[in-house]
Parts: sequence; structure tokens; C-alpha cells
Amino acid sequence: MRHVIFRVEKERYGLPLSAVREVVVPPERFTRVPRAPSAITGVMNLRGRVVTVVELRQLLSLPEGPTPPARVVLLDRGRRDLGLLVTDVDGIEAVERVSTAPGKLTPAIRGVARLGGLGVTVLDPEGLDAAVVALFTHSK
Amino acid sequence: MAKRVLVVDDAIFMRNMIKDIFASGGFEVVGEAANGLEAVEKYKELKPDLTTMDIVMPFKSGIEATREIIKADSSAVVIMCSALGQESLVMEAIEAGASDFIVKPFRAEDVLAVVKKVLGET
Amino acid sequence: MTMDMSRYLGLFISEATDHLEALGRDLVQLEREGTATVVDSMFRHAHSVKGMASSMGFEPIAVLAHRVEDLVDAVRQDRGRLDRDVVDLLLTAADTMLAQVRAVAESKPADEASVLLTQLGNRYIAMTGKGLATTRVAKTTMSKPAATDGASTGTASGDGPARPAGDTAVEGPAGTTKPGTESTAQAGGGAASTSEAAGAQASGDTGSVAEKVAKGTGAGTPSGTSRSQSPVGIAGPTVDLAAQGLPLPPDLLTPPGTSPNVVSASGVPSVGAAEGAVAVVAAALGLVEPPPNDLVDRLKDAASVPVPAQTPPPAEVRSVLPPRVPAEARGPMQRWAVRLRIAPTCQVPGVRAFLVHKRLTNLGTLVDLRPALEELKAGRIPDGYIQLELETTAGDTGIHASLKNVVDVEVVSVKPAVAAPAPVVAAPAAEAARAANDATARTVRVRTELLDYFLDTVGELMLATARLREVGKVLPENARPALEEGVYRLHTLVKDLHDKVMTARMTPLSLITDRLPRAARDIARRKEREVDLVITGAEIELDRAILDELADPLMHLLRNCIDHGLESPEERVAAKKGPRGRVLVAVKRARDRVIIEIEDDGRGMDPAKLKSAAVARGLLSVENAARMSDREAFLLSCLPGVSTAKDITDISGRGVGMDAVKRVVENVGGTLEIDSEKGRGTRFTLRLPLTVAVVHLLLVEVGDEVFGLPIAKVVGATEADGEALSRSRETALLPHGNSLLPVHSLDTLVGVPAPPRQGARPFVVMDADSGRVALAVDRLLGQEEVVLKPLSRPLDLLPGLSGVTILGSGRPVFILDVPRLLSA
Repeated sequence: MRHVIFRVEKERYGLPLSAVREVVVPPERFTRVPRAPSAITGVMNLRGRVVTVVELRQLLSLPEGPTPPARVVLLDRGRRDLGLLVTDVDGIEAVERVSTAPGKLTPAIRGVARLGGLGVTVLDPEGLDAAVVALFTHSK
Repeated sequence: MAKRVLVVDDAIFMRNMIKDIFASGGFEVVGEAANGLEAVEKYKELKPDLTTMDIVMPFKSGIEATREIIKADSSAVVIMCSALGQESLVMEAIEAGASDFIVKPFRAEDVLAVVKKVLGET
Repeated sequence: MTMDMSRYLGLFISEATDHLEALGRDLVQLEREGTATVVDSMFRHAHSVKGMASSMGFEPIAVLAHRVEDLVDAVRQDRGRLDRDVVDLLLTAADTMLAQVRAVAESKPADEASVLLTQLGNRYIAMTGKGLATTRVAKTTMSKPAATDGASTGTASGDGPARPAGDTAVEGPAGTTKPGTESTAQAGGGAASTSEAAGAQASGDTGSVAEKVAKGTGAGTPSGTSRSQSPVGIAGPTVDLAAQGLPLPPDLLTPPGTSPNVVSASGVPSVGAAEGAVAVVAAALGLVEPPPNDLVDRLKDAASVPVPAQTPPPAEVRSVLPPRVPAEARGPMQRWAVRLRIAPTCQVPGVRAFLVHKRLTNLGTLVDLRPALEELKAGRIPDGYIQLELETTAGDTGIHASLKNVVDVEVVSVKPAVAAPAPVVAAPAAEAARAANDATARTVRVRTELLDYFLDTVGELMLATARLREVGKVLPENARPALEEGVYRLHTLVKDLHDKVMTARMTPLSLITDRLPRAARDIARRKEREVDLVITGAEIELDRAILDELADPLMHLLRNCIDHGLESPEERVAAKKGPRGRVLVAVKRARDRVIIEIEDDGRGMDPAKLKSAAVARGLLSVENAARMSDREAFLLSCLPGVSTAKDITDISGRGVGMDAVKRVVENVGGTLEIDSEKGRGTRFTLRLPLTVAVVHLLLVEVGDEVFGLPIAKVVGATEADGEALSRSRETALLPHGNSLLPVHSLDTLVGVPAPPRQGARPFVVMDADSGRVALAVDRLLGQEEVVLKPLSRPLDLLPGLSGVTILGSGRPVFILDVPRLLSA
């Protein structure tokens, strides 16, 4: 199945193409969201829609890195306007055979696959969605 | 020339289904009505070759509407759309001048068979 | 050939829901005043649902609707059969069917309501002494939901070769309807295999077969799983380029907002995407009452029709149509022996036979009919054979001609008869006509999200226009007029479009007040209260977005009135009131506002008790309490935790509290007032704007961020040196008028860092729940009228935000709900 492949620092991630609405360059500045959890970068105006942008690095509790995020991957979640801030987008690749990821599992990660001899972590759109909502409900 | 049909039913759902069936059979649906009152008006206005008529409808029942249509045009071809359990109502409609009937839930081929037969196309 | 029914699913869901909701309303009305009109209307609703559900192949719904229809029909024949239990049973059935419809909307199989079916069946048998009829359900094919027109018909359903369907009635006696009948299995099979496809996609088990299935199910919703979240996720066809694998070259990426050609993986933002909540927009296509001259016209029409007996129809027509009157002498009167057979596959042989009978009586006189007419009508026709003798002048060709265009009838033989004439069979007695009146309004359905999309897009057009105007200002003087003229024209058009969109969003309040009578009945019954609910002005319209917000608050206020406001019948009698309480919901339009009053004639509220409760909870000082007017005191009931109700019952303890009611009303730009008189009753008054779309804001800056404060809540602004303010413990106090207001720093409230400030700074004085407060901000940016957007998930989970808007500069700005920010 075809996946959009993107990176957080050097790590590669994939999302099913069908779950991605589009990829955009982040705006110069985001509007901060009052009292939002820190993983929420802010909101941006995308052709009149207000999109909530989450930093994938923080959502997945990855260590901080030196490269500034350069792309926003917008999820196709119906009326939910959600974007993932990532380091860069590589392109679209067919990903086969996803196997269970080692170590502790989060619902946002579906598994791992091999692509061109390198590993790629395949994300679960539903799980990502749930993880974002969980950020908000737990922060109360 | 494609035969012209008027579809009468109070449910948009049913009307759409019937319209699709007619379209698939090469008929031209020239109008639709959602109750008996509208049906009589539309009939007089459009003079269709064939009218499908639901029985249970607000304002004026399909039977009453059929009676009025036949009164206005004795050559009108009105096909009743009925459900099982409405046999006595269908017979009443036949008394009122309905040419034939079809039974819900419809199957496209049944509907087209009855209609083509009534119109003498088979 | 089975039909692909998936394209009718959206319509089925919305129409069936309408009918079932109307059925529920009718039932509640029926209990109050059981008129024939209401029963007829109920019958029609049940009947329509049965017809639609059976066409869709949703057997559990069809069977249940059939039982309801039977029971209503029994009541229709004898209204003495109606009692509370029957109403309860029917209400439960209506609710169950609504749940079943919701289930199929989510691509889940509808539950078999076997217990309920048994109850309905038993009740029907007990009432009428008759047995139960079977329900016929179509076998259907469901292609993948959201597939575009037939593109994927059947591929996913695993339905194999088409089979003749429908001629076997599904046996469904009460309570014994089995889930394993073919129709359900097939409909369920369709659903199952679609989710399988989605599952294959989700699990990544991308064998070529799975991929084919996913592809075969068409260019539908890209993620099968998102469908399950949407209420009516099957409706909108969307074409998604992503599914076809458009390349996504990163070098074509552009920053958002700078140009419209942002690379899109899925093409256009999906306008009609999955979620298809249906909005009933307007009772636009109103049904026309019969015009007064209708009868006159009809008489005229009738008079203009040539009398058939004198002018026989042209031969060409007669070959197609059965003659409707005995034909004039076309030959000698002769008696014919006719033998016919009704095809064994005929679903309703009785009616078919009756049609034949009718055709033949049009030709002449029928004698010696076997089986007899009553038997024929009842469908008791051994092997389908019918024998009769007919005296006619039409001849055998006439007999053949009159039957040749009837399906399912085979003319076995027509021979001259010799037997003696027998008595004429009596004509069947016609049943009473079942015409009825109904106030059903025709509605145009537009999905809510489509309306939202229109509004978004118009808002965006407005922004773009404003931007063009800005651009024009840097052009050389001589080039400006042409552009300015164009921009002016564009501005006018867009404004006009905006007005039209806003009009389209207007929805009558009945959309939510229609649910109140049923709720009132349930609450009253549980609390053993007696209540008359009167609703007036429900036809008044409000913006759809406000209406959606109001549903819960209205329900809560109604609960409050019945549960806490009204006394028990005994208490009422003791207080010299009638035993039945009265709740009035009155909707009025006053200029650009809609006023909703919810009023009971119950025990009223005690301001002193409210004050002491608020003081006891530390929400109010004793001095402030003493100064407070009764009206202000009533509003204390909207503070969390303040309630004078003796007990927290399951009824009013559920859902939203009064604090939430007030918050919602204010968030949509309205106000709540409470009036009450001890022993006389309580009135809640909601004053609401007609539209939420435009709000007046005071824009303030804190650090780098800009926030909007609703002008309606802003009392004023002042400047002071924060350091020089007096303090009470931690809290700084700002002198304002005669009082000292607690100061809150907006940067801390919203969690936005701002550098500490020295010297004078602006303060905004605002109304909050328990009095006024002062907000310390960095800068006042001025007032602005903005188009408000509701918060989408997950932002709506945050306390303290009431919406978001996009400024002319393109910058998104949040609108703050200060009381919530302070309390949360």
C-alpha cells in the first residue's frame, strides 16, 4: 500500500497515502493555543480553515534534535483539521509487510516495515488522532 | 420516443428509486409528486403516458388521486405502488380505475415487466 | 438482477429518521388528544419506514416497522384499545428503530429487537385476535459506501451472480424472526466485506488480493475507519486522488496562504466528505393547500372529457388499454367460458385475480366465477386456476386483448359456453377512503458540513477581497481606479453571497423543540408529575450553528422546570393550583434577536436560599450578597455547585448543569435571565443573536499573541500602573467606579509567556460569573467585527475558548471565554 514517507530528524515514518490530505510548509509563525499541551505547536490558517498542528516529535516522546521542522503533514480526518509537524517529507512509497514494532507500543504506531533496506515506522491515523485527543483530556 | 412517466410517492427515497428504475428501462420521468393533491395537478399538467401511484400519502390518498385522474382522463394509465398487506387498498384502487399494481419492495425487472406489459410493449 | 442500494442509503437514513421522530411526536400527542388524524399520520410514518427499510434490505427495521404499523392500524380501527402501555411500547419501538437506523448509518448491522417484536406481536394478537403477517424484505446489494455512481457496484459485496430475489417471503412471526435469513445475510455480507477491505488497508496486510479489494471498492472514503466515526458516513461521494496515487513531489511545496496552488495529495478539500449530518434547512417547498376553486376546476375538467360511451377511444389506444366501460355492440352478445391461470410466482394472486375480474367485468357480465370473488380476493385460488363465464359482445379476441397486457396471467382457453346463466356476482364493497390531512412540510436537505463549507469559503472570499484592496494601495495613482472599481464590485457580490449563505443556514427552532414533548412526558412520568407543555413560535428560524448548540441547554431547562420547578399534584392542590403543571416554551423574534422563554407555574426560586448557598461555598461575600438584587441572585443558580434543589435526581443530575446552560448561551453571543416568584413559577429568558457568524471583539495583545474578547462582556478599559495597585493577599485590586476589582493577568490565564512590565498598562474590565474582573493585557488593538468559526476537535476540549476567527491579515485568533478561563 502506498504511504507518505517523512522524517523526524533521521527517523523515517510512514502514513497511508489515503490518510494524508496534503503536505504544506509551516507558516512563519503559529498562533499559540491557550492552555494547550506543549506538543501542540499552535494553529495555522490553511485557506480559511484553522488547522491544529502537533509536533510529531513530542507526540511520540522522541528526543529533541537540531533540525527545525520544515513540513506539515495534514491528516484527512473529516472535519478534524489536524497537522503533524515533521522534519521533512521524502515522498510516496509502497510499503509492504508491516510487522509489530519492538518495545513499548503506543496506539499511534502500527508497526515497522523495511523500505529500500532501511526501517520505517508505520503510523496509525486513528491512533494518532486518539493520541492527540488524549493529550487534551489528560492535561485537565 | 421514450414513454413519459409521472412518479407519485411521499418518500423522496422511493421516488428516487423508482426514477432510477425507469431511467434504466429507457423511460423518461417527466415529473414527480409527493401527495395525492400534487399528483392530480401534475397529471393534468403533464399528461404522462404512465403514472406510478403510492397509496398511503398525506393530504389525499393515492386511491382518491387515481379516482380523480381517471375521472379527468379515462385513458390514464395509473400503476399502484403497494406493500404486502395492502391488498384491499389495491383492489379499491383497481375499482377506482388503476390499470395495474406493483408490490414493494420493488425489483427493477418486476416493475419494468408490469409497466411494459401494461403499455403493450411486450 | 439485484439493485445496488448504497446510493439510497443517505436518503434512507435521513428520511427514515424524520419519519421515526415524527412518529414519536405523534405518539406523545396521541396520548393527549387521540384524534384520528394523529393515528393516520402515525400509520403513514410506520408504513413509510417499513417500505423504505424493506427496499433497502434492512430486515430488522422492516419487521419492526411492520409490527408497529399493525399495532397502529389496530388502534386506528378502535381507539379504545389505546392505553399508556401501548404508547410506551410504541415509543420504545420508535426509539429502537431510530437506533437501528443509526446503526446502519454507521455500517453496522441493525440489532434484531426480538423481545420487542414479541411484545408488539402479542399485543396485536391480544387486541385483534388475528395472526401476524410476514414482512417481505428485498435482497440488496450494497457497494462500498461513498462510492461514486455505480463505479464499484457489487465488487465488494461478494454477492456473486445475481439471483432472483424477493419472491420468497421471509417468515417473520413475532419474536421468532431469525437473523439467518438470506436477505440479512446478504446485506450483512456486503457490509462485512467492505470493512474487510478497510481492515486490510489498516492492517497493512497488503497482499495483492487485499489491494484489489480496496481498489475495487472504488474511489471512496480513503480511510475506511473514519467512516465509523461519522454519523452518516456513507452519504457524500468524494473523489480522492490520493487513492489513485498522485505523486507528491516535495519541491512543489509552497507555504500555506501565500498562493492557492499548494500541493494537495487529495486534490480539493473534500467538500462533501464523509460526515453527513443532515440539516433540514427550510420548509422551502411548502405544500400547496387545495385552492378554493379546485372543485370548480375539477368539474370543468370532468365536463370537458368526452363521455366514453358515446365516443369510444381510438382503436390504437384500446389495444393497449383495457376498455373501462362495457364496449358498445361490436358483435353479437355471446357467452364465453374462460379458463385462466395466475402464475405461481405471483406475490399477490388475490389482487391479480381481482384485476382480471375487473377487466372482464368491463367487457360484459360475469357469471359463474370459480373460485368465488371473495375467495379470489383472499388469494385462495387452488393452483392458480380460475374459471368463469362471460356474456359479452367483445368476442374471444376482445377477451384475449383485455388480458394480454396483464403480467402473471395466462389465458388457458376461451371457448363458447352453453350453460345456463347464473346469478351475477356481487361487486366488492369498497372500503372507506383513507384520505388524511397532514402538516408535513417539504424540506430541502443540505448537509450541515456543506453549509459550514459555504460559510468558510465565503469568509475566505471576503479575506481575499480585503487583501486585493490592500495590494491596490501600493499601485501607482493612475492604475488604481480600475482595480478599485473591480474590488468594489467583488466586495458587493461577496457580501451578497454571504447574506444568501447566512439565509440558507437559518433553521426553524422546531428542529430542537420537537423533541421536548417526548422528553417532558418521560421526565414527568418518572417524577410522577403531571405537565402540559405548550410550545409557541417554533417556526422561528435561527442559524443552524446556534440551534445545534441550544439543543442540550433547552432540554436541561425543561428538566429543571418539571423536575425542580413543578410541585407534585398533591402539593399543587394544597397550594390551590390545578394538579397539572404547565410549562410554556415561547419563541419570539425581536429585531435581530430571537427570544426563547421557558416558563413553569411551579414553586419558584428563593433568592435568599441561593445567596446563602453561594456564601456558604465561598463564591460570594456576605456584603455582596446583601447588595444583590433578586434577579442577580437567581443567576447564582448558574454557578457550579449552587442549587437549591432538595435532591439531586437522576433526571436533573445528568448532562449539563445550569452553569453549562449559561455558558453555551453566552458563547453563541446570547444572554440568560432568570425571573422567579415564590409560589408562582420561574421563567428563563434566552436572548440569542440570529446568527453566530459575526461577533464584535475587542482585540488585545499579550506577549506576541492576539486574543479576542467579546465586546458584549467588556465593561470598559482603563490604564493603571500594575505595581502601584493595592492588594488583598495575592490578588491585586483595581479601582473601578466605586469598587475594587480583582486583577487577573491575561498572560498567566492563557499560559502565554509575556515579559514583565513596568509602569502603566491597560486593563480590560469584564463581566464574569461572580461579578466584574480586570484583565491585565499588554496592548489594546481595537474593536473588530469578525466571522466566528466553531472550534473543531481537539480544540473544543480546551476550557476557556469560545471560538476562533481569522483576521484580515490571515492570522488565526482565539476568542476567549473569560469566566471559564477564570474557573477552570
